[in-house]
Amino acid sequence: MLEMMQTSQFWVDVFKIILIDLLLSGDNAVVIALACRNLPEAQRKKGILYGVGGAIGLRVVLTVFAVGLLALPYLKLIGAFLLMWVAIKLILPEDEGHGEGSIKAEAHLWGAIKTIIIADFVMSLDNVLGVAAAAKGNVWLLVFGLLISIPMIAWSSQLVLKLIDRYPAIIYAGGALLGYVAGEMLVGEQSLKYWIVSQHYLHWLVPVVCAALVLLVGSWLGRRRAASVVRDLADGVVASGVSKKGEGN
Amino acid sequence: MKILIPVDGSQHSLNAVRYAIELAASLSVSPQLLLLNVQRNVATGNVKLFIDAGTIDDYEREQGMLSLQPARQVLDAAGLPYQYHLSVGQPAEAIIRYAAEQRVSGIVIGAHGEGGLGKRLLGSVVAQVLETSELPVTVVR
Repeated sequence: MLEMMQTSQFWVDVFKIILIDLLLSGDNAVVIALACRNLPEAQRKKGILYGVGGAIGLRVVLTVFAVGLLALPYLKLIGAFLLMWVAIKLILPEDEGHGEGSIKAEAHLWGAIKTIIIADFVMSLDNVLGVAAAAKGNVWLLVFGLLISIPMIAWSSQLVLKLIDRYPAIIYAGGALLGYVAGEMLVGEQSLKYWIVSQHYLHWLVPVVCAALVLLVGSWLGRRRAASVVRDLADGVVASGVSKKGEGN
Repeated sequence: MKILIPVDGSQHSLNAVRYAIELAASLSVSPQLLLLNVQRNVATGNVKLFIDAGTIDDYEREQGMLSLQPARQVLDAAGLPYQYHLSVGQPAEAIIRYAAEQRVSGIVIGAHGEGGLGKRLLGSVVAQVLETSELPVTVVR
């Protein structure tokens, strides 16, 4: 462990994992908060607690599975392509399909928890795949990635949203990083080993090409989508001094 | 005359409201005051998949009304009439769009929101509004 911490590669990997966690964990907190919104006050805290607990448990299980699965032949190949897709999705602007979510917010505790767990499963897949790829089988790094992502599940994603707002380049850097990590995963594929060992330059060329590919495909697909859209929520007119505290819209 | 005051509940945005009140008092014909709060869109891809649009709207509306509350109290205390508006999206874009829709004559805005990185710096939203708006913009500290 100590030896490992002295290499610069280790710290580069740590940095990669933090960035991946940051970019692929933000949604969780929002879903948990919103899924519990319609619960009675007393159950809301319980719902959030169970939801966060379930999300963490699920992430641990998924991480263990990911490590086991990625050791199998050809699965790194599949993982790498999935990760490329996650990366491209990250840099695509939001399409304004508002209102497609058909699941009503549950008014009872178990319904809310069910929503949270299903959502967590889907969202954790992206995250776990990214972290597993960046950790390259190093268990310490995996556990570290897992621990870092836990406060991000529980926290609000406002910080990430604001950062992205201020520095939109973060999204592109993140997409490129995920592409790069996908490329590294590809190079690490057991069944390609013989071929790659003989051509050593592939170790850096493949990741760089994958990163470039993500940026290219992402910006090409993104061009056909409308840029961000402004949506109106509420309007009100107040005659002089008549508005009462707590008044709605 | 119409004056748009984008607010986020921060101290600087309240200073902007107070300045607009002073301005209104000094004019012979009281200007119409418009409050605007812009919420960031929490409905990114995955959230939209699992939470219905109604719940997201309710949440953002609740947050928006909370952000408007301090500014509304200041205006209520001054006994002035005003309009308020809530929208969701990229803040600078939403401010400029609403200003155009309402044909306001000017924008009065706080120098930066809560938790601005540097106290001396302009907030990023203010910087973008100054850069892209063709209207007169007053920045209040």
